Amino acid sequence: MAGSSTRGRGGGRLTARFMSIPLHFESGFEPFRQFVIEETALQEELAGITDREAFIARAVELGQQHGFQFQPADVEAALQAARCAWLDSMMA
Amino acid sequence: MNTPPDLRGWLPVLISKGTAGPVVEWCRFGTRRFTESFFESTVQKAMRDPFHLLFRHQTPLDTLLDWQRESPGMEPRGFIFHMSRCGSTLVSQMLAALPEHIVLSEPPPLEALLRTGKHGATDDQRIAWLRAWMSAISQPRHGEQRLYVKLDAWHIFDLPILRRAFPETPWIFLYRNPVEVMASVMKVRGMHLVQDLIDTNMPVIASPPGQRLPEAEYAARVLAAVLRAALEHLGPSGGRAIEYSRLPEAVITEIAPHFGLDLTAAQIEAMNARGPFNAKSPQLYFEPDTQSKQQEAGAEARALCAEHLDALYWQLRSL
Repeated sequence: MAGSSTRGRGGGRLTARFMSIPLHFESGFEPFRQFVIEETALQEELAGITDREAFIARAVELGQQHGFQFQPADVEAALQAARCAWLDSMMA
Repeated sequence: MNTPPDLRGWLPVLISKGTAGPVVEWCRFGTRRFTESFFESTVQKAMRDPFHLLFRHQTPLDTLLDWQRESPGMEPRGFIFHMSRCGSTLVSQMLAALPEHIVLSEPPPLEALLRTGKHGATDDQRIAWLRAWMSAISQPRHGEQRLYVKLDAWHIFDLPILRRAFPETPWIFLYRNPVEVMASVMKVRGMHLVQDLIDTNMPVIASPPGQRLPEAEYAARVLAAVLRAALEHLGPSGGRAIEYSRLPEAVITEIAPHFGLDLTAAQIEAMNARGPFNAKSPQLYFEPDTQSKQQEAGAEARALCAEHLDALYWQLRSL
């Protein structure tokens, strides 16, 4: 079987099961994130935005409307950290 | 009993080991369906969206039990066990062609829950968690009415506990001429066919003291163990063996009736429209590759089949 490889999946399965890394962001974005997890209407609105820039802009707007203070850069940093955490989860 | 959080629209896409025990990771899937060839491909695709990346969150495993009491989902209407490389993805994709179906293809959370026994969970706990996870993942979001699960090849060794958890669920076992399967796995191996790569419930494959079996022989022996397990359970547990050579027609003529599906002409048309495409690469047209696999199989593959697999294959064919 020399030269053979181990089969992954279309989505890039690397292990038999995922490991998971809890998300927590050290910025003003985190309280808003926890707030949204409890608010169905906000979830539905934000989940419908797939464009990254539009998502960030709307998240900042909604945050301000509900009394949370954070900047677009906080959301961008959270997205980058979340992406890394997700990739790490799959390679753990 | 705890009051569960409102998890409507959230699906338990991941089970993992937390600091205080297993945890469930929830992703708000909205109306996204599991239409990719594998469960995790759908999850990966969802994770490209900023919302899913940022708002996934974890709860203790027992939240599944609370949520099941609050919002019971469906029981599986069919399990698809298989030998590997024998058309199981084609079957699951044809079932997924109907929007009233939820089809979960080799979902990693199911594998994680089955393995909790290795970390001290009792069978009763595992059964409760399996039922609660299935209930949560099958919450209708599109008016779906039926749930089907395609398992990993090595889950045939977990069939007894799956049958205890879901005694009413009919099941099939897909198999194929072992020469063709060996021709495929000798090019690209499945994870369970690599010695010591993953933790499964498979019987120990003995090797000479201090030595490892040659890779191809190990793969052949694992495939033989899979076929033996299928043969052991097919009679008493009411499963049905389906050979690759009968696909894709058998999805309509044998598997659907076995799963209690009474298909309309329009549903058959929709499923057949999905069938002719290569299930793992939908951009490619599906063609049975029996002839090419037979040509690819070398002397080593044929010898291993003769020693370990052919007799089991013929037993399956005789059922």
